[in-house]
Amino acid sequence: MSSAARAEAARASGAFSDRDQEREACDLGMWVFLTTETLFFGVLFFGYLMARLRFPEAFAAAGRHTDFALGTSNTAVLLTSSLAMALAVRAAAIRRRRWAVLLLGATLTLGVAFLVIKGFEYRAEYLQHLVPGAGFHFDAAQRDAAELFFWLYFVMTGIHAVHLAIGIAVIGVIAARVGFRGFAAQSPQSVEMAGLYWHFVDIVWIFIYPCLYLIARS
Amino acid sequence: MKALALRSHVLVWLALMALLALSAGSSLLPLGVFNLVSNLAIGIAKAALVLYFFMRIGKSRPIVRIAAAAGIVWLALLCGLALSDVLFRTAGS
Repeated sequence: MSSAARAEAARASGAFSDRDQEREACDLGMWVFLTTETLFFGVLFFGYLMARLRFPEAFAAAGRHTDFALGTSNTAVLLTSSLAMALAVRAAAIRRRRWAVLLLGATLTLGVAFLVIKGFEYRAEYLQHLVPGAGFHFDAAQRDAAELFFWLYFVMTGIHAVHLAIGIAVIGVIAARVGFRGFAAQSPQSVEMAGLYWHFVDIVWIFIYPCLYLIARS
Repeated sequence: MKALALRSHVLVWLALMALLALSAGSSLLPLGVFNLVSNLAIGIAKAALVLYFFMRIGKSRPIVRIAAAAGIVWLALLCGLALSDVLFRTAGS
């Protein structure tokens, strides 16, 4: 063993006094990360609130242009993916390898379905000239405030989609490693941590949905 | 399958779906300001279900719950202070 490798091993074994401590540190670390994410997304929601308080009529008019049916179905897709993820965490905890891989696969598939539906929405909005910029078209009196709404729409859903894509990649890697190499190579706890992240991204969407899809529908 | 706790998980999912139907449905009714209130309340209820049953925050150690609460408390603090400025600013108007 080289001295560098020995130092590495010593550091690795010295970092935690036992498995429980390692688990707890892992759990806490993930939640601290999610806390920073709460603040990160929170700022966007607050920006939305400010703009909506300032331009209520324009936000109502612009909000009617988002796709109610697709937004609602996508919420259902994401909530269902969270069910699959929660079950995958359970399956991993009791070391049911096949169930874990199957349920992670279901989570991943639903995540991809969400992004595909979102893609169709973006396409429709692009064709309707609702993408902010030189090509943005809207009723002249409310144009600027409506453009602000769609700025927020694309930034909020876009950053959410990036988070979801990262989650899909992480779940894909974990599912493959559990499937091919088992829980010795990929600990059940890593499934649990990916689950926390996935559920968090789901919660962000739970609040994006009414803000962007349910304004002035009556 | 029992160890998967399938039943309780599916029940939570059904509750989430019912809440989703409720928020989508209620938004089609002209309830004035209560559209906003019900949407927000339903969103909080859905988030609470996910946090409690899927993320199992209730089973976490206190330090983890403090970490999770810190984000929400801090956000509420910052937004509250910023709102108190924006909503009640009178200078110059």
